Amino acid sequence: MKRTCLGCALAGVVLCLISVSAAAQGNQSTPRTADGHPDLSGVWIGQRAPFVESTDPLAQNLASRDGTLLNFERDNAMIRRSDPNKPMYKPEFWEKVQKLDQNGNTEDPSFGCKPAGVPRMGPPAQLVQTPKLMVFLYMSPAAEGWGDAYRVIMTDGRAHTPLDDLDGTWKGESIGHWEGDTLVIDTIGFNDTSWLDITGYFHSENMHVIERMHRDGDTLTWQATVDDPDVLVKPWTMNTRTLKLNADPKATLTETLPCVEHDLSHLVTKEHH
Amino acid sequence: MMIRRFFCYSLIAGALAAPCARAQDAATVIKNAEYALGMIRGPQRIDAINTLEYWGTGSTYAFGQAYHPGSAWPEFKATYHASLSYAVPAMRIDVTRSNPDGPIQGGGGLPLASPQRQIQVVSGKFGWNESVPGAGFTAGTTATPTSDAVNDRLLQLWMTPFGVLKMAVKAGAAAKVSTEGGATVITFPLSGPLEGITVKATLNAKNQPERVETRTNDPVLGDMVTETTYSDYKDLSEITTDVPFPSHIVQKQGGFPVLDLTITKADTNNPYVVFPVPDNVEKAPPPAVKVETQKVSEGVWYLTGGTHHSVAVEFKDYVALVECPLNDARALAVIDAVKKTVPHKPIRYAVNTHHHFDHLGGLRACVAEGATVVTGAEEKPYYEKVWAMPHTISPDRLGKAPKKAVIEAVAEKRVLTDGTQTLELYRLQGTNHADPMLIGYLPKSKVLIEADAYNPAPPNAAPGPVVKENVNLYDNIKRLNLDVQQITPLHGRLMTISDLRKAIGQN
Repeated sequence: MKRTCLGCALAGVVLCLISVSAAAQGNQSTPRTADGHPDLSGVWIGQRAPFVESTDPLAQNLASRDGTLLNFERDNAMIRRSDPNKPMYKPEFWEKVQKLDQNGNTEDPSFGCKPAGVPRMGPPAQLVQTPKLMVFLYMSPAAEGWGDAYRVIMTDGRAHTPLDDLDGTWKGESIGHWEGDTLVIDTIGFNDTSWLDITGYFHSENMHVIERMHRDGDTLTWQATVDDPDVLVKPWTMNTRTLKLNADPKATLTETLPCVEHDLSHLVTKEHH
Repeated sequence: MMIRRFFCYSLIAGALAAPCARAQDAATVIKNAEYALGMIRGPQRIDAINTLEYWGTGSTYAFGQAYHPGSAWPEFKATYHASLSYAVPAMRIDVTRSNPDGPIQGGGGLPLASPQRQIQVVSGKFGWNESVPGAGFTAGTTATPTSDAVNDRLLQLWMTPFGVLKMAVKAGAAAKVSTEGGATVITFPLSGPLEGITVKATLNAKNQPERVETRTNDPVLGDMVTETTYSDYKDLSEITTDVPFPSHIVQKQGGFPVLDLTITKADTNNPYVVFPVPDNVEKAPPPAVKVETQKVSEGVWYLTGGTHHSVAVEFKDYVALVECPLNDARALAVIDAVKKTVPHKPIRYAVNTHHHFDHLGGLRACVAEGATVVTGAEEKPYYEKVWAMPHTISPDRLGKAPKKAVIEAVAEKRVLTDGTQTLELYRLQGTNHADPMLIGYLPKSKVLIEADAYNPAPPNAAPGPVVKENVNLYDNIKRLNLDVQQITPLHGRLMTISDLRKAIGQN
């Protein structure tokens, strides 16, 4: 909202070009920490993995109409909704999802500079691993909620705080553990304000998210399953995202511009911007 | 570097998007049609339409339920809402139909006492009807499995403008292009569960599908043409998408309209529509043709077990079978049951009560069995006409071993008798359901055989309002001075004359 679509698109292009470069580095063996677990630490690239497969680095980030880049689809509405992998809401919520989606300009919390929350914020851009905790660092647009974000995942064997004792938050309470070489992050304690995606996918405070992260050489896969029996017919597994390690040992995250909302009152259609 | 690359992609994209000037191969024609419908999006040029909703008002028609044989299907006013997913594939048709102008003539549920909502769903290999959208996942709602309808519903999905182009793409090299009357025509075979069906899509001057034609098997009409015309394409989305959708849809089957809709809104913006399959639908056993034989009186058997019943009447040397309903499968099962019940006697007569397709669909099997058809006078020329149509898509018993049908036309009355048994057939007068329509009466056992004039409700059902057709049947019984004790409705269950009197408020 605070930037132009072209700005977002160019940022995406840069990410993709870097991704291509990183991919060209070739596979590496999976490093391990002293306690024997895969070492997930590093700067990771390619957080956004559209379901549309294309080798065209521009294709995944620029929306066009009538097949020409000179005629951008104004709101990228068709493609971003065409993912057949949808959460299966209970019938009484179908109309609500549609209305939220159609009025996304005013209803989508991230349009108002609010955090994306888990799991919409996706996998981190950088991961710092210690024996007892992991720190996930994000930068927009990966975090989608505009602004840099972080998560701390405890891996010290503790149990969840009882749900009734948790204040519902955007990121919830995340507890991690290892299942073989896969890091499993169990998160509860959400507010019901965030969405799962841009298409009106709301959730309840009783949402339970399981994320699975697995490193194979210089490739990190992330997958999240959302269980929310209050609103969903069955758990929903989001599309797997694949990240590549930035092989540059000096790589760091760049600062994201602050989110300042000032466009919303000027919108005259329901098209997303 | 970035700018140079950007313009390079732009030039390539523009070149590929331009209409092909040379002779058009099928793939190019289909691609141009996809562009014309706004389906192709992004530099990756993918077909981005996966889900769709549209709303309309107009008319639906009860296929095969004409009042007179050979006349148009009876009309209902309708509000119509379709939601569909090409990815699953799945479709939900939510129709509320009514006949606000009062009773009209024909079958299919006419007359409607009040608006009637029908929700038909297909999702992959499952089909069901819903009491409300999403039924089966909320207490108090009902999802009724209808696995027999799966392929018909899938075909409707793939005959939509976007669907037909998606399937044309899927057909690959099997898709062919020709020109008819100056219009471009794409012809291709369907695959998967619809294998064997060929689609013919005619494009308008803007490369949009304007007529889609298929041939499928119908028990009565044989290789039946379904023709859907799409006209007056507009962007009907609430949020502008530049995806044109036809604002007028007309579908014909057997030469008469079954659907005539003015589309008021189309959400082509990949709306959230889902089709979860209820447990009871997923676990429903495959439909089986079942015939239950119930002896009503000496030499009279009521053949039930499905939605449509028959009655077998034993004579000294033969059997007369009243009604060969639905289709080959049902009729053959009924014939088999008759042979087991009355062995060593041929079915000499097959009495047909009326021409509605659900009562006529199995009659060809009875012709193939060697029975003489006994039916209403105006039905004879109609049956001779439709039975001469080709049945090549799914040949039935008569199609595999053609035999000329012997048809006896009944004007007002016909009596089958051999001294031991008598079956009287009368033309039912005053009915709005179908004309002509025969009822049967067995004076020896005082049993009345009728179809659709009295469809008794299930036991313990709350009494409903008086139905005019029930009253009319009773009036005919009185007019003909029939001493009826029992009634064998060809829908429902064995009843008595007292039950009919109660139904019409004459206790």
